[in-house]
Amino acid sequence: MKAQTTMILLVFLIMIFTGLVIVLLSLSQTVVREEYSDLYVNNLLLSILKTNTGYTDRCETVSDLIGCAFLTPSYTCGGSSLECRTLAEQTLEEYMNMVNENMVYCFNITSGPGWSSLDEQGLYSISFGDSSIWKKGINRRVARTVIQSVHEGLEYNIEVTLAVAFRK
Amino acid sequence: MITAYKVFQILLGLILSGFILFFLLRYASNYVMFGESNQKFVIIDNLRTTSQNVYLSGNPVIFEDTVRFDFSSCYPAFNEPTEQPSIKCRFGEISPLVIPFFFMLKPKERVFVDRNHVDYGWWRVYFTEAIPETHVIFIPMDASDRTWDLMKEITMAFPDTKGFNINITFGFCDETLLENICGGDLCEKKGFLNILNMHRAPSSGCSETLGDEYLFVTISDSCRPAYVSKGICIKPVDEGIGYVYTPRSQDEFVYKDVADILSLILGGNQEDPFGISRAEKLYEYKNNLFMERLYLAARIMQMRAHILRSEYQSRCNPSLNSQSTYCVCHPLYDNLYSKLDDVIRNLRNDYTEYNEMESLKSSLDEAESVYQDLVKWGCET
Amino acid sequence: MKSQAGLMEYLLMTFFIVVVIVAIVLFLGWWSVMEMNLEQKKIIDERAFFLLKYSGNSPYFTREGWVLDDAKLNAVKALGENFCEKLRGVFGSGWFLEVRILDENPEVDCTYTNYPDCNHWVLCEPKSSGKEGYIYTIPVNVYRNVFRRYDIAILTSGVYA
Repeated sequence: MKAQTTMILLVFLIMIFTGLVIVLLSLSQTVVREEYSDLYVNNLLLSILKTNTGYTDRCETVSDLIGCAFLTPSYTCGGSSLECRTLAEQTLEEYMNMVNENMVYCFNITSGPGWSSLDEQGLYSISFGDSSIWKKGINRRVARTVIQSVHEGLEYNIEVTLAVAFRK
Repeated sequence: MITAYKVFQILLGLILSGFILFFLLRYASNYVMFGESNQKFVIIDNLRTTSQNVYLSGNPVIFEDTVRFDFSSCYPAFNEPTEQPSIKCRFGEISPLVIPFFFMLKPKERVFVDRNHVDYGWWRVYFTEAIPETHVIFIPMDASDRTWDLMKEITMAFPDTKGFNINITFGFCDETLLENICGGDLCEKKGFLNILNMHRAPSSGCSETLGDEYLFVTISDSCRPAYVSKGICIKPVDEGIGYVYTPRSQDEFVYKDVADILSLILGGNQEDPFGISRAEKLYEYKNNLFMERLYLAARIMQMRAHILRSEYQSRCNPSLNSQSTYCVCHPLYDNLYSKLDDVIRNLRNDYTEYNEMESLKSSLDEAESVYQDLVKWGCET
Repeated sequence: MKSQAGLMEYLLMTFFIVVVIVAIVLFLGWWSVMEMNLEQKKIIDERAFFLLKYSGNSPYFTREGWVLDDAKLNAVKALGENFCEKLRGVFGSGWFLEVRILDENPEVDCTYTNYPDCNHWVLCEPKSSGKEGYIYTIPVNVYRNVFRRYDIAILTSGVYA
């Protein structure tokens, strides 16, 4: 009886040790990862927007191209035979794949605050990429910024949101 | 009668309790007296991390943890050129200190951490500064442009604390203190700069005796060692260069930019056991650090100018277009290359010698002027 | 017989106590070593992350935040290993930087002679590999001075422990 109790106590002791080790090890996860992921996606968005496309007219940078796709989607930029909307989709896909092939992404382009409707060709919201990333339960990182685009002498604020998830 | 089993229970219980108590004490030691040294290290390390974040973001913050202990023995140290700078305190050393960091830590006071810079045109050196609640009092012994421009530069070197609940204010002393001169209130940075733009009058000296939260800055052609009994005394000799004196008779420092003056104002005259004042340590740190970093920057910019000159020269076809960017810019890059050569040579001068610093200042000004030409002609965007 | 059994009981108890004490001592020793290793790794990791942010904003390599200057990168490369030794006074030992412009062209290492027709820089490459490295990558822009153009690139910054 006593021997049995002793053995049980010893097993209990071993379980305490093991439990302590597991708990303390699990607390050692570094906090840097969260900040890094946010910084990565934020930089990804800003860098892509600033990049020169090689096209001219209203599409010199990716930011200009997105503005064109949002405000005048059927316009054809200098140096390309495609319409802005299609060219923007293609260009973004090209750059995102070059950065990281294992990423699922979605660019949401929406009107900035105080936007008023243009003619019927104006759009309120467009997106490029995989919209299923917005579904609940998907571990995604989001970055957001506002770009300016000029159309017929007026400046428009356009909100660009990028959501990214990494395939395992 | 006590049995072996009972003894076993008691012993095991004691061992287990000791084990648990060990871990409890270990992790609770941060919060009890005998962990004070550990806590101090953590706080200074956090201050260093905060200064790094402020450096990268440019957003100022108030650092509160310094109210817990006395960190007045801490100062930034340059160390050797191939070793990184560190923060040295009486209780130990925190390393590395990657970004230039000037701080003034008073016993049990919180500090305002902000970012500032010195602009050489072709280069901008950012640094962070941590300053407690302070009143900077100017005593200008003349009302010349040079003196007023110097006061503006010094004011610009301090952070703007408007909207924060720690105040760095500015004022004058003309026999008595003139502090509430911004619509009846104390002047913070922007308010004081407006005052400097609107009013100009020399002071007759200052007979006030105030606490050490007041930093006195006298500007006079008569400055010499131990001329003033408090603060610093600046003797401008030429545009942007001159001498700084303190109440200590052995002190004569050469300044060539506002960061030199800032380091001497913030340092203070408190001496360590070897008779070296904090001002001297901060001045030495600033000069060793800036000279070394500027040297690296000048070498990079010089090589960059060389690369761009060669490339632009090869692409320049005067017969086709003599006004093209390539044809206009390559001689300017060549000019910048030779000016930076002078800068590199002068950066090896002794920062305590006026004539040598005058040469350095002159070469820096010339390099800045050439760089402005590059910007003007569209070579640098 | 009874006293012999009693003695055996005490011996057994002592043996178990000693086993428990030794186990605790070994555990504490192992725990202290593990804690120090973890702390060291955490410090190096934090240092590597800070150096990523610092490199991406350092005027030694950039023209503005997260926009590298291709002529500066080439300049640092051209200044060679002696210059890297001096840069280690700023960034610390074991630090390196790599930039790769993302274009459809094959990777061409930048040298003094092939500027600007190149797309890859490795600065202050560490001499000894095989050490544990803490490496971070991030998208950035590279400004091409000659073409007046912003390209997208990947910046890799790391430290070797």
